[in-house]
Amino acid sequence: MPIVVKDLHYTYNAGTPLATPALRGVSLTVADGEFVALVGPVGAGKSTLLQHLNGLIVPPAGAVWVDGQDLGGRGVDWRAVRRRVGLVFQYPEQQLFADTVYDDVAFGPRNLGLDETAVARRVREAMAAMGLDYDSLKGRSPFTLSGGEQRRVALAGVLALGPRYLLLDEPTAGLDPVGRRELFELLVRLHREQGVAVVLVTHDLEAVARLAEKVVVLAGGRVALAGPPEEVLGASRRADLKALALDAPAAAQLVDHLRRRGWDLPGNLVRDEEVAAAIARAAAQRLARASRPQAPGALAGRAEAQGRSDASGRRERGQPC
Amino acid sequence: MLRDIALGQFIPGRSPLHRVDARVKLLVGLALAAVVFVVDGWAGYGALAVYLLAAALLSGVPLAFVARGLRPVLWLVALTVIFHVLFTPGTPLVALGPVLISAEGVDAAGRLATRLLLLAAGASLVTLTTSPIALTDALEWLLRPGQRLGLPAPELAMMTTMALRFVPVLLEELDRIVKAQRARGADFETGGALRRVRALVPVLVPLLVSAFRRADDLATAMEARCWQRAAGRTRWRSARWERRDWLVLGGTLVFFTVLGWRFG
Repeated sequence: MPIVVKDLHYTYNAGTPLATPALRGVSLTVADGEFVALVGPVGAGKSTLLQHLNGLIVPPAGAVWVDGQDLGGRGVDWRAVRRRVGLVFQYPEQQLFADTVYDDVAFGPRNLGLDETAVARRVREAMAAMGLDYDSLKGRSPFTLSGGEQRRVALAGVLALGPRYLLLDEPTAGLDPVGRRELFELLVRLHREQGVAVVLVTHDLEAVARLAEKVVVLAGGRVALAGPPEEVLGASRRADLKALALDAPAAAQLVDHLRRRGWDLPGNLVRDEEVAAAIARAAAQRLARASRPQAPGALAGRAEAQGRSDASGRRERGQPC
Repeated sequence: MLRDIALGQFIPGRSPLHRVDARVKLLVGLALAAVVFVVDGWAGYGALAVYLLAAALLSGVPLAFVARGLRPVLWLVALTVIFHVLFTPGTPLVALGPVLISAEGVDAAGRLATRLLLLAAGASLVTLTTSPIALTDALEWLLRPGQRLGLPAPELAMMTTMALRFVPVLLEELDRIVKAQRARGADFETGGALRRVRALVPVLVPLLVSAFRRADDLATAMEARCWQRAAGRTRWRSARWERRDWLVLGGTLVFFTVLGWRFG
């Protein structure tokens, strides 16, 4: 069963002179087990939308259904909703409070009213899923951990609820590249192995291209674009993305660049490996057409080197390479 | 629920009342506090109410907002009314066994309640139409004579400014932490008093941690900008007395004096 959002409107400080509209008619669906990326410029309404999906904000106009239950209806069992839909806020380590890592991760399951053996199992599983060593960390104070570890403890605290949907608001903000990659890998594993649906808010379009099954671009409180990554981030949409202050993934920008120089490449390639493979193939063809025949292995290597030098040789202004 | 905290309830605007110098508004507020307790009589209260109503209409702030500012004093009003009604001796209106409600008691309670509400409405109007920063500057100006007695007025003003500056920041943070813990199944609304207090621990600990971190960051940022002491600092927006301010202040003071003399 999916999460269905229909024509959602939300205004902060409604009815006061400080009223600011955040959502103006958003509709979208998150299927069971789907990996959805939510992108868009600052102030587009991404975080506001997330808070509607587990009922932290009850929709004043429009509707949200979670697994068939209308969150705007009467008699909603909020505990059940929050168990099904886990929400990780930005900088979640700032919500840590307990004396020990164990107690902090156990906070959610205990709120669900589970007995201590079940709580212990949940804590163990959630910490394992977040790549945290249970035995060495369970007794430590969360405040003594490194920033990256704190973040993963906070994520484990949400995972321990056993959600079917996991909503994350920029979970990699402030992490170094290694920490970022590790966190994304953990999310992918969670998604693949346990079938958890993920809604990921991020500005990292490389990660979006690599991970997401569906991309939803939010702008000004409305859905501007939605679809699979190759469609939303593909060449035909690049101008739209730019208008929304979003840069296409680096690999896609490389493709654009080569296409402008006459390379025969499909425009909807957005993932690193696909782009690399396509460039290697196109390069091999180009070289084969050229007079000097060479061994195929050496061709691919040279082609990639040439691709790189092409890209760095003439940089487009305003485009990071 | 958390948004109802009345602090920082300033509503930006460009109405005549917004543009009056903060110092004038502060002085008028203080004068109101005095005159409300000098004036004794319904005609006087009526005149003050008309004055405040005119100011409220002039400010363009919805009256509902002004009324909301009265909410914090309602408890106080209720309490004083009860005490006055029950414990003022005089001509009995109603006698229920040992409890005696006198006409004098009802009258005194009504007067006191009116005075408190007028005062709160005035204070509410001042804070609704004056930015907290301007208000602190005005406060510093008012406290300036106290510097001779060793009162660190500029430092106090600086501290107040910073504290006010962080009220909305911390409120937002509070809101976020409450939501984050609710997302983890925390329940703040049900259970007995002890349970509810205990439910606040997961909120207060992160809030305190973050407040200390912010304070630390702010101190570093100030030191990095060579901040030394608050005295003798210049301002980006220095308030100037204009004719409008003299007129408002003079007119009001004359009005209040007449009221106090006529109905006192």
